[in-house]
Amino acid sequence: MMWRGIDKALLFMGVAAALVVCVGCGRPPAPSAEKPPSAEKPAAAETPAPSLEIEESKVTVVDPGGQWTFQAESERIEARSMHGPYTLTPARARYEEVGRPPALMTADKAQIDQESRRVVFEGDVRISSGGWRVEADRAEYDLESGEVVATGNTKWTFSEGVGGEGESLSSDEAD
Amino acid sequence: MKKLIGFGVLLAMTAGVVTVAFAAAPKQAERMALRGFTIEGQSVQIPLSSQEPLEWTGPVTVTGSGFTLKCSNLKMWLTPDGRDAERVEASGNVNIAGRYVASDKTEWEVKGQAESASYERKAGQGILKGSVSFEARNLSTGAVVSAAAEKLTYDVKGRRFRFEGGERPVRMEWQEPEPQAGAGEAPAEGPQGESAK
Repeated sequence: MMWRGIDKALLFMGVAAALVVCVGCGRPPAPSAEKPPSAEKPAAAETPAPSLEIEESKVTVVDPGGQWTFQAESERIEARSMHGPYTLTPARARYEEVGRPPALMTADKAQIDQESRRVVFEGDVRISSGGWRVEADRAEYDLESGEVVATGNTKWTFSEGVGGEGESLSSDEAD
Repeated sequence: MKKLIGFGVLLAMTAGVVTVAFAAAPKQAERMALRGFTIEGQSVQIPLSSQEPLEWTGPVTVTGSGFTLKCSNLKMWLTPDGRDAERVEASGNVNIAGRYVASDKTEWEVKGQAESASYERKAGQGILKGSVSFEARNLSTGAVVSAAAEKLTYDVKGRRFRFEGGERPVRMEWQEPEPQAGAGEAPAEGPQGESAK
């Protein structure tokens, strides 16, 4: 009953979800009591990968340093393997970082690739945060650098009341 | 006398262009000065987790408050709440165009060019740099005022402005419209713009 109308790919992901698959490094390591986090900053090459979790219809990526989280959800999630990449069609996502307004992202499709640590949004991409909103054909989000590059008919607008605090991932705010 | 008035009008208008293009009116500058502005470009880099600036690559078009700014590259540092711009830098064939309503309510069509432009919210300054040129046409009388300089600085709060010539002196021209055949009276004198300081 629960899986009615959902294709095999989603069923696969449902199984994966039931297992609560965790890929990557798991939860961010707790800071050592003996060594403050800033005391020994790891070299770039040694920076632990963001952890990625899948649960039901959500894919969550967590910063190893605990500063930010990226959560995407969709009615339809496909994966080539247990390790991804994961394709969400359509996709709604939310980026949250301490001390910053959250960013909401929507697109016709998003692909989350843990290996390359990138999220690619395609088709009617909309990103909003604080008092701005940007529309584009495509956007690529680098999970490591935290940078989004939006391309193709990009249109940036300043306006009140977009990407506001407290909006849930499920809201259609970015639409 | 006309030249002096024209110069004052020109300065008032250039000040207006810089202000409107990046900061809107001083009253609005305090809160979301860029509300309603749109920026279009080929691509934009958005740093979600750093203090790095947003960066558009061109051609870039900024539209708002009746003005359009075009350039090759645009960088913008947002305020922490993401609702306004702390600093804006435009570079590469900067072109500004639009209509400006002077303090005496006269309407002017303004065109401007520079190699770069910048606006800083805290300093309340708009700056045009590099082969700055401006042309403004009075939509009522047809009079045209123009100026060329190396740098133009406008103080938004103090409403003070300064042209700097660099190696070459600041050049300005005032052109009255050609009197039309059969017209009895000479064109009206230009509006009493704000004087240069």
